[in-house]
Amino acid sequence: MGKSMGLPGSPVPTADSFILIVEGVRVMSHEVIIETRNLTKVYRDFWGRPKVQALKALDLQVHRGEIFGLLGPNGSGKTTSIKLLLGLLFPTDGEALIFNEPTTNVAKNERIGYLPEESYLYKFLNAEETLHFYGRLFKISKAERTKRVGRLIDMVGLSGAKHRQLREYSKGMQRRIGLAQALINNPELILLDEPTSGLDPIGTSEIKTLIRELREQGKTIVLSGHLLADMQDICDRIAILHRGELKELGKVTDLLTVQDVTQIKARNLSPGAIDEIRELIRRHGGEDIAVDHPTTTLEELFLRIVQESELHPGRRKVAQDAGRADALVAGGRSKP
Amino acid sequence: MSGFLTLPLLWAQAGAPAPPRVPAAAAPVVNIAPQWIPALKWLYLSGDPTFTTNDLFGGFLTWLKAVSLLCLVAWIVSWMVIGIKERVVGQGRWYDYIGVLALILTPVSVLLRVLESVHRIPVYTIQGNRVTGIVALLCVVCYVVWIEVAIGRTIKRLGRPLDLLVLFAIHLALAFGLGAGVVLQRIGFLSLIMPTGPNFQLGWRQGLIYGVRMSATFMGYIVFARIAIRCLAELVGVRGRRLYSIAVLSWHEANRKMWAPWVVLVVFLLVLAFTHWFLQPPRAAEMGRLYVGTLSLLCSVLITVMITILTPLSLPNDIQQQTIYTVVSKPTRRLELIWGRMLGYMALVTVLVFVFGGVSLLYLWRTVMTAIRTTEAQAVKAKQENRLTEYKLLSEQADQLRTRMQARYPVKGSLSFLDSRGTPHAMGIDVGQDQSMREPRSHIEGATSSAAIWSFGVVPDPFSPPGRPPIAIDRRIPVSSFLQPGTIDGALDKVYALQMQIDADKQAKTQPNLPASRMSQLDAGITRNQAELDRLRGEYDALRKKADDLLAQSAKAQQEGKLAEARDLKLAATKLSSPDITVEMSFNVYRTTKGKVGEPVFAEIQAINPRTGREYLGDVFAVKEYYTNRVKLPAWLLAGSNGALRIEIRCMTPTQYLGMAESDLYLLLPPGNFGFNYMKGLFGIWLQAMVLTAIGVCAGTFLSWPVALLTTIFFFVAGELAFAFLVDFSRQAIMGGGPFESLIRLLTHDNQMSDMTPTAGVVLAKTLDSLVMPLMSMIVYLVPNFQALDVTNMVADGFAVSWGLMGVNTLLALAYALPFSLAGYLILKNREVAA
Ligand SMILES: Nc1ncnc2c1ncn2[C@@H]1O[C@H](COP(=O)(O)OP(=O)(O)OP(=O)(O)O)[C@@H](O)[C@H]1O
Ligand SMILES: [Mg+2]
Repeated sequence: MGKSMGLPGSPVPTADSFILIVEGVRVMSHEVIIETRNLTKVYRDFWGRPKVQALKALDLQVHRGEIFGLLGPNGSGKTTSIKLLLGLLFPTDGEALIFNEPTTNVAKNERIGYLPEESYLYKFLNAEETLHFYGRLFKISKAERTKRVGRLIDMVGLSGAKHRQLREYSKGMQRRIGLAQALINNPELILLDEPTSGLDPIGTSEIKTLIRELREQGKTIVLSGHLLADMQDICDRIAILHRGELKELGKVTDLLTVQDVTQIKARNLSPGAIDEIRELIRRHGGEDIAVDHPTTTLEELFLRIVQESELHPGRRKVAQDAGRADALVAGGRSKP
Repeated sequence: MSGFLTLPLLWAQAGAPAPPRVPAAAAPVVNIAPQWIPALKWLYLSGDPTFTTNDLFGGFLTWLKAVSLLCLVAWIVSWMVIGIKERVVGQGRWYDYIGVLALILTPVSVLLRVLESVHRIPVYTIQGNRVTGIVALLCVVCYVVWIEVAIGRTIKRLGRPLDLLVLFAIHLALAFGLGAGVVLQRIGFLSLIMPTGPNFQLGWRQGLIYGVRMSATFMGYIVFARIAIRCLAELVGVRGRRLYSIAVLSWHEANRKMWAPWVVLVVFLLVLAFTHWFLQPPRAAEMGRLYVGTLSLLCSVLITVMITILTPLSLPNDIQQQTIYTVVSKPTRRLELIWGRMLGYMALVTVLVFVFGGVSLLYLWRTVMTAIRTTEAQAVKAKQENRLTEYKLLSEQADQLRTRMQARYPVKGSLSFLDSRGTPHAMGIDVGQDQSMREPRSHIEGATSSAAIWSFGVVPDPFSPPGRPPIAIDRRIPVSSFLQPGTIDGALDKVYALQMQIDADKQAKTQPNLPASRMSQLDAGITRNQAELDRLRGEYDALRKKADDLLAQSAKAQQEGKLAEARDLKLAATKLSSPDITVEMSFNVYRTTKGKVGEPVFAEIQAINPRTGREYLGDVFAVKEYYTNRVKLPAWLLAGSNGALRIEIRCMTPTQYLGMAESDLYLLLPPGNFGFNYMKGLFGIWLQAMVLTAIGVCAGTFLSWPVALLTTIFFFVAGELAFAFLVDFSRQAIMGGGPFESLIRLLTHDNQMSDMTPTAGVVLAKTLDSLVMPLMSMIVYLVPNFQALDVTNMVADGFAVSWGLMGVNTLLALAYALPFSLAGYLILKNREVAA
């Protein structure tokens, strides 16, 4: 993603969304963009016998303007959820709504951008033809389309290769053109299935910047992946899936706060005061000196949840409401 | 209920049940007020699967009924499949046992019937009802109950409100159809409309059977309406830009991924380069025909093979390689995926047709036209060197070649016959030669009063059933194309027309108690027309006189030795008349042993204008076998004919027979351009490709590519090579029974007509046949009639492909392509592209 990270289309949010950026605190809209209720998917074989239960009763809400991360080990149902949201699969039970419309409604796709997991482009087209092909599927004037195609190709850093057929592209290059096609319609909602897979570190960091930039423009972004460090950096909220079940859901900052450990950090505290504090802690049955909530990395959290789930299969209680309420005010503040 | 049977559909195809053989003792009870008859006819017409009218509307209606019945079957099957997959059906509940019973009873009842028919078991009856009939009825009832309950439950559990509504409406349709059948029988309408006439009385059972047939159609209409509404809703969302986008994609796919058009083009050019090596016409005069036929066949084969391979691969690949995810997650409609593809492929076919057409025309120009020119040059040389027989032969050859390289517009009449005693018949003598199914040939005997008569104008159909008013068919000659205005004959035609108008008006005046206003109107008309008539007469006389003068001057010039001037004057005189009318005939001769081989058989032509009574007797001519005889009729014969004419052919050689079919004699309109006609012929191939594209894309929506490919190939082969056979098959008109029985006959070298001894094997074969035949005959409704779309034979014969025929063929092609593409849409809509 070359020099200009400017995105096509206007950064002005649409009428019913508003993003306030007040001293680093972003206030998000209440508007629900994606809602799933009891969403369940069982893959069947030809005879209708169940093969895999890929998703079990998923309840989720994604709000306008947030970056929502879907995490989970391989085969946990991330891609399945995204396909269900797009109507590529039909739910076995439950329902999914995007923009308050059923997923089978084709018209809503005007406002959605989607980057599939893999091999999703016509290899016999070149980069420019690809973008024009997808662009023509939307209601975009020819002049506007041509402008966008040029800017997107620039943005993903493929100007030099735009007349080569995609079959000659490397995996990372294909990923880049895939990202460009997901943005051709200047979508409000962007679904990215493992956007950083196959990208080099520079590409990865460019993508992260891009995703943040998209959020600044008021777009809603759902991304899946298992590169936890990246997810930790950019996601506002995450959901962790394990074998099709929702294991954790909430604001990244909350989830990474270890509630049963208290850490106190102070400057210029006299040793006497420290002893007093230690004494106090000891009197209350505590044992350490740091007075604060330390944060772990997402990686630790993830591994813990997966391990726990392996040890205790079954539904894990997920604090639904916390996520929903806190989504309203997300940002640098942590809970008292 | 719901399905009330796929069986009525099968019956419908097996043909209506035969009316009972015993005429009713009582007088027929037909007590319908005449004003009700049209409404009842409409009811019956719209309901009965096989009853139809003989015109374009009838064709449409048959199409609608067939599509509706297929919709109904598809609807039932799809709900049953959903029921099975969603564990509503097939889980051992009570109705499943009934289903199993039905499945067991099916072969049992068929077996019983077969045993009965080959007299291996006696005919058991219970209170006058055959046991086999009761078992069959029981089987049907089981099916009905099973399907009814299964579909009812499935829809109740999984269907949307609209599905429930459809289910309800289908039941209404069923009740309505059954009721209508019984009512129509009660009031005697059914007896009235049966070919057997009102004297055969039908019982209530027949009424019920007809009711079932009608209700099947009506239920089909309901499902059809549901599907049509759904398709229309989808249609509203279809956008040109998306269609175009998908079309461009398919175009690129065919070009860059498959290299298809290039491969096809290279093969075409390669074959063309060697054509003259292996194409040896049996007769020199056949060269053009052979070349044109071969080239269009080549185009047809290459394009259809390309389409057959290309189209069924596209969608399955798209789904398998997951490229479709990116497309369907855009606002692309499923119908656009299908039509866009069809559009892209048809664009490819269009380009190929033009390229192939251009190249083949160039090729034909270089080969056949050169051949014609050399033959003509040789003929001229032969004449100069006084080799007269050779001259005749060569010029004949050149003439035949030229004829085929035209686009002749034939004007066809209706053929009937007089036998040797002079009595009229629809057919002549059958000499037992092989008959083409399309057009029966029959013969007239030489030197008797038997004749073949071609009637033009609005004439009675010679094949109208006796005892009813004959059906009129329109075979009018387009007189204005033959008699140009400003010529003597054109003027004469107008004079006649006016004179007849005046006569008619005068006739009208003689009617008793005519109102005064009408009378004065007629009078005014007569005076006006009379004045006009005098003027036209004057015009006609002036033209006549001018022509006579020119001829006289020409004769004078001739006498004076001014030959060039004489010729010019004569030419000017002939220009005042309309050109002669060419009649082309190609008869075959059936020689009895009494004749000598090689000696020509002679015939005579006589043409009569039935309205003016003027006659023309042509010269006796020798019938050219395998070639076309050409006779000129004077243009004045048509004046005042209003499109009517009668041409009689008699065979003059005793004891020999002349064979003819209706299309063997026709008048020729001025020919059109061959190249243009050739392209029109290729349009037929284009239409074939369109139907095939629809089938290929549709198959690709739910089958993996190898299966989709095989399916498409099957449809093409069945439609191109076996359509006639399939039609016979569905009418159970194949000799020697169904496939299994035929197999036994093949193995035992039994002939097709004999009754076989009812061994266990034969009984088994017959049973299997009875089970398989109805299913097979369903195919006839699915397989497109590709042959009908192919008009290249006409082009090769040098006949123009009329716009009317092209229009009808386009409709036919759409009638196939549209349902297939919409079926594809419905399937794609209801499948998970990512599963
Ligand atoms: N088409 C399919 N047919 C049958 N089972 C499937 C199909 N697609 C996915 N599955 C199964 O569903 C489960 C979830 O798969 P999914 O692709 O959603 O996982 P994922 O979270 O995206 O994994 P990854 O991180 O590897 O991409 C897996 O057990 C997988 O085997
Ligand atoms: Mg995945």
